[in-house]
Amino acid sequence: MRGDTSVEFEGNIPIYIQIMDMIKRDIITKKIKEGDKLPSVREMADNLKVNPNTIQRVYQELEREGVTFTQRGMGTFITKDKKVILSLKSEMAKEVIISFIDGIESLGFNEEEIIDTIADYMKRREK
Amino acid sequence: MDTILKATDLRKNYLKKRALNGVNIELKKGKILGLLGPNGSGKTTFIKIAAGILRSTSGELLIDGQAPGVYTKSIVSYLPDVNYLFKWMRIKDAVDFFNDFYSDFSVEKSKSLLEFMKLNEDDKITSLSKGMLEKLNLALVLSREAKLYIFDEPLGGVDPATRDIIIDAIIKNCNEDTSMIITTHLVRDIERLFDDVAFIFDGEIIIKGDAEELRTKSGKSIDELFREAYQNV
Amino acid sequence: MFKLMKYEIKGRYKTTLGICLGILLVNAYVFIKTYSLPADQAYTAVIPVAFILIISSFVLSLIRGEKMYQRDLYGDTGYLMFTIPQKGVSIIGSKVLLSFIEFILFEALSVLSSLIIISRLPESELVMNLFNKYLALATKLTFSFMSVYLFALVLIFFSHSISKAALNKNKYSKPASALVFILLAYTIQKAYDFIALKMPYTINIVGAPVDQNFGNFSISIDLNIACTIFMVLIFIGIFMGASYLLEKKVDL
Repeated sequence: MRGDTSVEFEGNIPIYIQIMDMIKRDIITKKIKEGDKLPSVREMADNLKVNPNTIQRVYQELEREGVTFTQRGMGTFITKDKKVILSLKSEMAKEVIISFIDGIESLGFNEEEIIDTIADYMKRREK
Repeated sequence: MDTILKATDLRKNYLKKRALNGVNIELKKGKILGLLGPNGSGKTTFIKIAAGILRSTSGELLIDGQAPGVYTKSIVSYLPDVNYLFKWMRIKDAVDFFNDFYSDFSVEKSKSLLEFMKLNEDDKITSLSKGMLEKLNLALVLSREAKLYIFDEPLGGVDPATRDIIIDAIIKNCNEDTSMIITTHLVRDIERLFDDVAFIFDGEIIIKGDAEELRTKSGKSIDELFREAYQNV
Repeated sequence: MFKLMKYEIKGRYKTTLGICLGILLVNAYVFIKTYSLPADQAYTAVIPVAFILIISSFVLSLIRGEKMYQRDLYGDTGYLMFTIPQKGVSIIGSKVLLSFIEFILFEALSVLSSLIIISRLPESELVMNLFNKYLALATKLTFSFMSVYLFALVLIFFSHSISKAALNKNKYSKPASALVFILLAYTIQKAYDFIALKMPYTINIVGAPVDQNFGNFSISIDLNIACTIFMVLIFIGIFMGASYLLEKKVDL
C-alpha cells in the first residue's frame, strides 16, 4: 500500500478506524483491487508507523465486515465479492453526502435546487 | 503467563514525600503501555521499581509472576533516562558488555540497529552527542529479545528527526511477544504506539484504559486528554 | 563475577599500570641517588622510602577499591551495573577480588624493587641476614597486612551498602558510611581482644622448609584458633551482608 513517510493521523478518532477508512478508500479508488493481498501486519505497521496491534485490529475488523478474508499461512486478501465492494462505495459515499447535504441545506438550498446546482456544476466540469 | 506485569497497591514513601500512593497497573503480554505524567508524578519511581533498582515501601509488583530481582532483570530490558555507560567505553565495548551479561542479546541485531542509527562501533562514548547517545542506548536495549521493555523518556532532549528514528526503531521491534512500558511527557509524537495508557499524577493513577477506547469515548486525542487532565488537577 | 572483573579491568588498567610504573620510578630514583653513597646514608633513604611505598600502596589501593564501589552506588553507571542479572555477591566479589589483586601487585612491586635496591647496596648481606632472622615475623606481618586490607575493604563496602540502603541521599550517606565503618571496626577490634583474652588457645602452623643461601629453616606461625575463626566468620558475614544489602535493599 503506502511505503513512504509517516502518515499523520487525527488524534481524536481511533487510529484503527482511520486506517480502515484509508484501506476502504484505496479499494474504492481501485488503488487496491479485489483479490489483492494486503501487506503483512508487520509491514503495514512499519509503513504507517503504528503499533502492530493496531493493524491487527484493522485486519480483524475488516474481516468481520467481510471486506477482507484471511488464508492461513498466506495472508490477508481483499474480497472478490463485487457486492461487498459496491456497498463499501455507497457506504463511504453516504458519509460524504450526509455532510454535504447538511452543509448545503444550512445555506438555504432545497432539494430541487441542490440537484440542479449539482447537475449544472458537473456539466461545466466536463468542459 | 498472560499478564507480564502487575502492580498491586504499590507504594513508595520517602521521608518527606509519597512518590507512589497505591498504584494498580496490569499489563498483558504483547501490549504497549504509555505511562504518562508530568515530572515528579511518580513515573520514574514506578519504572525504577520495575527495573529492580528501587524498592517499594509496600504493595506488590510482579513481572512474569516474580518480584523484581535477578530473574526479572534478565527478562526486562530497561532504558533509563541517564547516560549509564562507562566513559572509557567505545560502542564496541558496550555491545560486548551487553552480550556478556544478557543471554537474550543478539550481536547481529545490534549491528543492524547501529547501522540504522548511523553509529560507528569504534566511536568513543564520550565523543557522542546527546542524540547519538540516546540512539545508542536504545539500540542496545532493543537488541535484546526481552519479555518486557521499559523506556523511560526515550524521546527526551532529542531533535524531531531523531525522535522519528527512535519511534521507528521501537515499532520495528514490536511483535506479539514484546510488551513495553513507555513513559513520556511528549505524548503527541508517540501516542499512536500505545495499546493502553495510564495517567499518573502525584503518585496515583488518575486515568487508565485502552487508548482507542479513550479516543472513541472522549472524541479527543490522548495528547489532548493528557493536557486536560493535568490542567484540572 | 569474572566477566565483571574483565570490564573493571578494561576501565582501569591504564591507571593501575601507571601506578606500577610510578612505584618503579620512585625506587629507580632512590637507587640512582644512593648507590654511590656509604651504607648508613644509603639505608636512611632506601628503608623509609620502602615503608612509604608499602603504606601508600595500602592506602591507595583501598581508596581506589572504595571508589570502584562508590562510583556505581552513587553515579549513573549504577544503572548499568545493577540492572544486569548478577547477584550481589558476584558484584561485590568482583570488586573486592580485583582491588585485592591490585593491592598485592603494588605491594609486591614496592617490596621487590626495594629489595633489589638493597641487594645492590654495600653490606646488603647484613641486611639480608637480619631479614631472614625475622622471616617468621615478616611472614606473619605480611599475612596480617593482607588480612587487614581485605577486612578493611569489605568493611568499607558494607558501610557504604548499609548507609546507602538506609539513607538514600548522597549528602548524608557518605559521612554515615564513614561513621559505620569506624564503629564497626572498633567493635570488632574489641570483640577480637575479648576473645583472645578468654580463649587463648593457639595453633602452631609450620611452613615448608625454605632453603636459602643463609641456611635451612622453616617458618612457623602461631595462630589463635578462636580469633581466627571469629575473624573469618565476621569477614564472611560482612561480605554477605554487603552483598545482600546491595541486591535487596539499596535504592538508586
